[in-house]
Amino acid sequence: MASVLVSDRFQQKKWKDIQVGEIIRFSADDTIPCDTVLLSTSDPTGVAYIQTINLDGESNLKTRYAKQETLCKTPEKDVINGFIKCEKPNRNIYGFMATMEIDGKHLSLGPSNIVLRGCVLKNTNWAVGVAVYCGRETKAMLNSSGAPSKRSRLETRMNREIILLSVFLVALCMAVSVCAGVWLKRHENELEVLQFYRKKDYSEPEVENYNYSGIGMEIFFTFLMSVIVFQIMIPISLYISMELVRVGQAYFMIRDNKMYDETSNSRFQCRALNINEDLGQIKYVFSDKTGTLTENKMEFKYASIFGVDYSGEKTNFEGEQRGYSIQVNGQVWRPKMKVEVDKELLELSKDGNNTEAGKHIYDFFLALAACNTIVPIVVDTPDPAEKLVDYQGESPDEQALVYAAAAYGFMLMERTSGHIVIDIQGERQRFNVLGMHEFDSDRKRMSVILGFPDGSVKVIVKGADNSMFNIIDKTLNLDILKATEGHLQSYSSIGLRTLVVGMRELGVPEFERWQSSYETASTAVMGRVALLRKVAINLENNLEIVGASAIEDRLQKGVPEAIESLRKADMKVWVLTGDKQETAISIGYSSRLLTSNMHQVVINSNSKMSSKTSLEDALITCRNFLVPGGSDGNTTSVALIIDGTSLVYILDTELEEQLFELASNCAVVLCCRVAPLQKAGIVALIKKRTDDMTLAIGDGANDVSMIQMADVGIGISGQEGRQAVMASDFAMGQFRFLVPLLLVHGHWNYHRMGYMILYNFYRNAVFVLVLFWYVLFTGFTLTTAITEWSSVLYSILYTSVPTIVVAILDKDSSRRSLMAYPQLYGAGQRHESYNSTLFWLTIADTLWQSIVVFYVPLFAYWKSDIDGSSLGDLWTLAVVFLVNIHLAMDVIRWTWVSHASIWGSIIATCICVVIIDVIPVLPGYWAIFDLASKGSFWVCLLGMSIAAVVPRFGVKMFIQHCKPSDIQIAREADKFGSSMELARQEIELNPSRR
Amino acid sequence: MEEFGRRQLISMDVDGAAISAPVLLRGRSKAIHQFTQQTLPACKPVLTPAWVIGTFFLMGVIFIPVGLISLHASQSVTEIVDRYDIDCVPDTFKNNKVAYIKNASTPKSCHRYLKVDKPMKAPIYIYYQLDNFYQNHRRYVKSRSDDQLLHGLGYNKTSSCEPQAFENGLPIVPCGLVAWSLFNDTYSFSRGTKKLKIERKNIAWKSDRDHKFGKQVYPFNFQNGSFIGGGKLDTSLPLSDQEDLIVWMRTAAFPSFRKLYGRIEEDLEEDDIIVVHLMNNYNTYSFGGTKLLVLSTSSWLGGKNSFLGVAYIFVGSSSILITLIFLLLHVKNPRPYGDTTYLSGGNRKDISS
Repeated sequence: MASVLVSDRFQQKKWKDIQVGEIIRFSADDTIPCDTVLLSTSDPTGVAYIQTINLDGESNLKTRYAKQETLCKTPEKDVINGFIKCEKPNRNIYGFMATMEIDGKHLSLGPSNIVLRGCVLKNTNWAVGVAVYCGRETKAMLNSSGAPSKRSRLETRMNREIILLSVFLVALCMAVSVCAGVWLKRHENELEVLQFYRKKDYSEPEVENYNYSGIGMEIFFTFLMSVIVFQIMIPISLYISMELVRVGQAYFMIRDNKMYDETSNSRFQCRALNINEDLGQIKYVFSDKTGTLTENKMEFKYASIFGVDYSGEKTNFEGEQRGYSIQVNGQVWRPKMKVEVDKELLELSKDGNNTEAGKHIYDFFLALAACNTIVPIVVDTPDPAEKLVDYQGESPDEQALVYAAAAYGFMLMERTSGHIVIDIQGERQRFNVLGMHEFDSDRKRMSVILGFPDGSVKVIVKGADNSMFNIIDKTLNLDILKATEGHLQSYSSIGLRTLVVGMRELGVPEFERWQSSYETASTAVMGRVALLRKVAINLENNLEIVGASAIEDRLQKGVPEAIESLRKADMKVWVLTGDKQETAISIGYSSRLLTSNMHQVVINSNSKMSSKTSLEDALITCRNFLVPGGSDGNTTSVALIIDGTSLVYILDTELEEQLFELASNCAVVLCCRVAPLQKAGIVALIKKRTDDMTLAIGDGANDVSMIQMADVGIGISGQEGRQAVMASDFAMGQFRFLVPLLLVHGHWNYHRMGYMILYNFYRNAVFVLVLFWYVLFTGFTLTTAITEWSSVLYSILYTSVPTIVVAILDKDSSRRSLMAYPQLYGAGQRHESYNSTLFWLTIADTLWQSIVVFYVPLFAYWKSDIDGSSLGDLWTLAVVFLVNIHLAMDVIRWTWVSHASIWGSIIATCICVVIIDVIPVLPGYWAIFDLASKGSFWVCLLGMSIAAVVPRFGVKMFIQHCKPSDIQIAREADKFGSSMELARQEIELNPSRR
Repeated sequence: MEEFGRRQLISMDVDGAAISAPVLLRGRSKAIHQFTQQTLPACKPVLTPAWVIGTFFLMGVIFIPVGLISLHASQSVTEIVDRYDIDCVPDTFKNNKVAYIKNASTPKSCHRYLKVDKPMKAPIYIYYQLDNFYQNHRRYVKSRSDDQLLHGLGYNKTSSCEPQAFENGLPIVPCGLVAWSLFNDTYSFSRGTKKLKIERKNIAWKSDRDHKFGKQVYPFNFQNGSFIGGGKLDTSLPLSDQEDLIVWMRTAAFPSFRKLYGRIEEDLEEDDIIVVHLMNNYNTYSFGGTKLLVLSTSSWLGGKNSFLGVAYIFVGSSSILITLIFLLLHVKNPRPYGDTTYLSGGNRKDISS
């Protein structure tokens, strides 16, 4: 529901009923129902704060402005007559172009005037706006691709083989019906007198055919009947078993303590139940950076102030002083986040302006506290005498810097569009904000023009080091500049994000010149952004260096180790981030994704042509590196770094092919500054061109499209909302859980499922084939020696439980060896547990086993007085024994559960056969007892069970000896290695005992 | 060996134990923990060459003797088989056997002389053997009513017996094609001038006589139609005493089968000549079937059939052969077991390709 202006009053209206052009009013913490141009807000300056966590995953507040011209209007009283002309609905969430015509004035509207659907209004009591895009046309909706239904790769392959089995089935039925036709034709004249056929019914006065309607129809009926008898060939029950197994596997994944996140108290979540086994075949991992690899908690680490490096011991004052705090109206205000401070720097900063160093430090922290877009918000605490100051803003870096400044005694207390109040060492000071040039990606810096209480005006600039050094006055303090540069280098080498701060005092003429141009630029209708940028560039020059800050974007626990494991497991890890290239690279280094012996290929292009040439160049360098690298086994590998702008020209064009070729040759790919849909585009690029499985992991709403696009999507249940988790197939608390998830559970799941499918094919086919062989000896008439009851119970009771239990519990390798040797994961990538070779081998084995089971009793009892029911019981028992022994041969880990299920099934079968045979009105009454009293039964049963499995056992052992799989070796190492270790320990223990 | 076994016990699944929760869990919660963390104590047999060779060798060692014993058992059985269906047709009907068998007035009696090659110990089983008779044909197998056999006329849901459920509007007991086609050749034997005593009781399963065929159920309206399929029944005897019927109603598994006719409770000596007086009533001529008379002793393994013995010896010797191959492989081309330096990441082989 949203309140919409209808005939001068706001009324509640459903979201879906909102029309373009209606005026809507929002209250604090409302979710915006449609894309809306702001008209007025509760703030007199027309500022509204919004949270865009649902859109781009950023949790901090962003500011949006209502136009001055519409601010004063109250929709209930004044009639607002206006006209908004905007571009067609598109999915660019960072762009908006429109003009508004109101009271005869033309106003231009930009991205800062629009609030998008899905955002939440924060710290603003109310806001009023005009709906411009509604429903499906909103940018949020255009960006959400519908969740595709995923089906596991294994199941897709399995379905192919099931079609093959259907062909077999049809072939069997055809064979039977054709043979039946031939048989009928040959005995056509005898059918009437055959004691066992009796075509005619003589009981009625008129003699008619009984259940006989010509050879053609008989063939047809035989075909239908054989379909009914042989239909178990298609393992329909397999689908049910698979679901059960997946539930079991999901249970174990959820309950795994190694994937339990203590900090957030969250367990692993299986949100999709049908792709468990895909986890064992992943080849490409696409990872988000912020919040996935990193904790998304920026922390101020070191400062270099006027050429002096303050990176000494850090002390946390928590015990002693509980951080910095100030007194306001008898209340204690303290920053919400505590920052570890450098003791020396803290001492110096307290000195204030008295010393030379103190002066520089004063400038530095003042710059940090002032030059930003952070809004301080005072939050109540349980203690009425204490308030927390929460710094909200667009950039987490700025937040970290402001918190740092506060910790050193420069606490930002208030920010309006006109002034800021900073508490400097207990002394409150008010600065006028005369103008601000916001950050843009071309300048890579921002500046603020501050009017000091003493009347002087300074411009403070903060930005990326390379953009800052260009505008710093090199004639002044060259040695300090050199020193700072050195510090920056050492900071960034340990993966810290650096910013440089510069400052300059403005003279009155210059200030006035700037002010007039700033005003014309900021009210310009056309090309305002460009004009403002020009004004900024004119102003930002000849700066005096103040210092540099280093912020740590802390990696999550265990990330470098996890990435190393994944790469050892022959997975390609791609990082897709919305961050800057420099940041991405520095994170790449700290997460051990990039190493110093890697050759980096960087693609930053602004046009299609240049991307084409740079791609071609990159391919050549790549080949040059790979050819010698492959021959001498050198570890030189290539890392590709590409940015979002280049991707715009590459994705969805013919250049995709080249990018794919390049990327597949690179060990590491880093994509920076990519938009949410580009992430999905990159995943699609790989998915379209290879058969390899892709996995995407991310935590924010901006990763949703990528998570949905990849074969397996994993959501990190972090702070960035629940969108990623909601869209994901699996969700977990930490990036490092990916390792046990893929290497251990994925591997197990894949192996178990692959084995179960093949086993189920075998299990059903062997039964059908035994029925089929018998039909050849009954005049092709679909008689089954095995009772109907046993036929039904066969796949329900006799053989179903062990396969499910084994598929849930068996482990082909221990967790320890899977973690210790990540290369074991390759088994899944190479489809070792399920492939067409294995399928055909299984079919051949099935054929042999069915032949043994059928023909051994046939020859043993041919021309004997055995009855059909007894032989049926023998076949039932033999087949059940056989398939269970077959399974037992392949079980790797015998727990009591597997023992119970396998031997229990055999016992259950015996009991069922006995029960069926003690019912007097069934033809097979007492058959099993008669049978069991004869020696030949036991000799037959033993001989069949062994002879049937010997070839399989022999071949298996032969392969194990001559071509052992990695899994096999690891298993042996696990068993004998540990006993060797034990033996060693015993030897060590022995002397100490004496 | 003792030491080895103990060590194996210790080495049972320790994974997880090392990394699992340091808190000592007891009893139920421990079991649950083991279950959820998939660290239930387990035995993980790894088949080393010694095990493989041992297994195959053991199989050979068991199978060859069993095969020999089976073969011996089969060879100890003596059987006399005599096909009489052609010879028992008079010369005048040789070209039209069907007419002969269908004609009720032609004499059906026939004499056969059987020479005993080896002494046969009692009991000697008398079987008749039919070939090419599909007692397992679907139409035939289904055409019976086990309920009626037990409950008699009181049970009237005999639709499964069609087309042999009613005759002249009256129900048939026992109904169905199986009973209708009852085998009705009869045999009597004499050695020299003395008649051999044939035991015709207890040839059917006791369970069938006691529980499956009703003691109060008498044949009714049986074989009264225009088209006679086989033998008639003595209407004064209850079904449970009609042992030939009971034997016949245990439908055979294969189209070539034997059914017990009776037992000779006397030993037969070598070179005895047995005279068989038989009534050749049953029609196998119309479908090219054969009828044989079989006299056979029996062993623990059943009748004379060397297949199982041969099969066992074959499997046993194959196992020994495989044992030798593996032994050779292991000596010539040994493989270090559990050496993780051999982990290849799939380069050595590529099953999937």
